[in-house]
Amino acid sequence: MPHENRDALLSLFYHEASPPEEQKMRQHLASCEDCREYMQVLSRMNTALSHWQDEKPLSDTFDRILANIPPEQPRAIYVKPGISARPIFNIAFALISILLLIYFVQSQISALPLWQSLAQYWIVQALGSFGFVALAFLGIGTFITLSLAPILYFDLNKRALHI
Amino acid sequence: MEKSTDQELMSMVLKKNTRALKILYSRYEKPIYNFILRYTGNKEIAQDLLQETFTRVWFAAHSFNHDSGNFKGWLYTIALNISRNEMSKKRYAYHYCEISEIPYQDEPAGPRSQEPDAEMEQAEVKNAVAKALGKLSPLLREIIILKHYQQLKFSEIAEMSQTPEGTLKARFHRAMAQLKDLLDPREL
Repeated sequence: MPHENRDALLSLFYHEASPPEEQKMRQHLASCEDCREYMQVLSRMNTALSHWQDEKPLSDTFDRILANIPPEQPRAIYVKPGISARPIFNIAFALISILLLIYFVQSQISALPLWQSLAQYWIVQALGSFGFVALAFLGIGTFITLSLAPILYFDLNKRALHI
Repeated sequence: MEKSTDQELMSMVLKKNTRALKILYSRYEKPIYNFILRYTGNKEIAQDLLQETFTRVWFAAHSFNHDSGNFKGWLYTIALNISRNEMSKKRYAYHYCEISEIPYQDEPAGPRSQEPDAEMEQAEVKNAVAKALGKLSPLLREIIILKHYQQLKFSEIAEMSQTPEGTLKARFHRAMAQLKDLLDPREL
């Protein structure tokens, strides 16, 4: 019997053949004694092998599998505190530093002759030297922040995109 | 969780969920046990290897393809590799046993058969089949078990054993011819 016929018979026997292949093989079987004989052998062996039926494993097998698995270690859980003192200290430290800086700058600036001419303006008089320097710091800070904003924005997006 | 797919359960096993492993075990314990039993021909070894197979599923869960993997094929590959390994280790000392010789203590005794002769004959036939399978080379036995008993397609067996389908079919024909010689004279 040709080798390819035997393979096709296997596909037919185990229902793995496509419908056209199956039809072709059935037509061939009708006229081929050897192939019919081989199908009978397959069928006989199939019946013989089926005498060895499935059995059940022992019922405690899964317990023994679990015994091989190490118990899971309890995970260390980090509980985020409701209020953290650290940012408050940071803000307080930054504010005190800025106030000291403003105080130092205003003490220096008020000794300059330029200050005498500026002090003629009513807004400078209203703010005082400390308020004027604080306003100047605020303006400079805002200018720097707005100047850097496009760069910071791009940088954050770059990180988000993992570029 | 009982209705989850094998893939979903494997994702849970990856997260160290023993309940998911138990569900997978209950789905596949019988086919895998019988596959190993017929491959090794020894109940005690089959029991040990079944245990080893599922222990390996637990520890190797990360190597399963959780997106598109076929769990059944993956599991059979593990069982096949473990069984092959066992057979090669015991190449010189190990013989395919007669299955009915090793009864288990927790097997139910069952009601006494009305026809003890028929029962004996059935056991004899089973033994003859086991002996015939034991006489085949491991590769031929493997294809008979996977194809006939486990009802896997040739394409599935080819994928899990990394062997061309044509080679598997040729082995199957050879195995059938040998089984015919071993079993036909008994007219089973």
